[in-house]
Amino acid sequence: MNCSRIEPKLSEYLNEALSAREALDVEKHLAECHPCTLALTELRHTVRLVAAAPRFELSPDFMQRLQERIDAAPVPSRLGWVQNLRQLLRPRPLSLFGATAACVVAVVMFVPRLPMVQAPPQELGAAAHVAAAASQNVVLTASDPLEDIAVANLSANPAAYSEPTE
Amino acid sequence: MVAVADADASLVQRCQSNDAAAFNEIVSRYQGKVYNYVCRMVGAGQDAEDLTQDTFVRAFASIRSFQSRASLTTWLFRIATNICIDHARRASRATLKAASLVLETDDGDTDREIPDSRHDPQAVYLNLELGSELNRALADLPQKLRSVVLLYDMEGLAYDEIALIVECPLGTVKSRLFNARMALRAKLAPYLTGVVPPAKTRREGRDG
Repeated sequence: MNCSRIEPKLSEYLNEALSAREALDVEKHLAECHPCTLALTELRHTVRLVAAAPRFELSPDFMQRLQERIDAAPVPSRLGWVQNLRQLLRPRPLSLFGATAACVVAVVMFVPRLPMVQAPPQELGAAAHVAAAASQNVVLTASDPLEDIAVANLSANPAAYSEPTE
Repeated sequence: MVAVADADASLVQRCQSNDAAAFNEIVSRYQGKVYNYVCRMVGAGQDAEDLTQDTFVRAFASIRSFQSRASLTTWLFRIATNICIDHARRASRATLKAASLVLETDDGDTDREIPDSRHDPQAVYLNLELGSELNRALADLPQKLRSVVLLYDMEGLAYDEIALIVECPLGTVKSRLFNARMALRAKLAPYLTGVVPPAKTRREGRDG
């Protein structure tokens, strides 16, 4: 093995993380290579320096300040997830808005579509765009137009459709 | 190691049962290690203490979701690492200053000095210049390399733990460790000749 293949292994060799065979290969090379032996020695010293570097000390009031922060935070409840689930499942009276919205959706979904009235000439373009959009939407989404709520919405309110602007 | 893991698992279970004393115990055990790591990652000072607090506050807030798939050590250092990364981003990738050591003298005054090694023949390498160079060399490492060398050589964690902490494959951990050590070696080369630091095992380093 040459030095370029041995050098990347020196770190793991120091860590005793090589396989027995790989370690033997490294040792055979080191026995004949002074530069790699020097590199290993310096790596070992470097690692020892880092391992023995002085450690920083916390200020004496660290624990007290941490405790103050934690005390000010919401306390995790033992049964918190149970309480949250109960909150979600609690029956609530429907708001007026919610009830109205539900009715609109039901009407749109289940009332048969009325036959299209011949639109005035200035609205024919919009109707054509709605039809094209509805067709494309059906192709991309539902196989049956009546199952595609987006199609129903477009047909119910063609005036809401507008040309995409560049 | 197994005893530590079992003790940590017990503390976690007690925390999840709202045992405040258990969380205080966790903080007592890990505050020094986390603070030292954070100091080396972002520089010593008030920011480092705040970020260390942030680590434990976040741990406290999410202790219920901790499922002990990883060790408590791994989990805490992962939180700390992510907090340090976020801090670095918020600081607009400013160059991290070399961490400075601050010691309190007997009368409570602070003095910027490396510990005096004259009374410790085993620590002859801990002179002022070498200590400063070591601090600077560590601070000059890219954060991705610095975190790995700190976690392996200073905190004594294993490859697989570090892989979980920094969220990268084992091979990447080994590669970063190698590159970090080589970079440090290059910067400290003038101080390595003739210097024989005491042989401190990784277990001693981890418990220190």
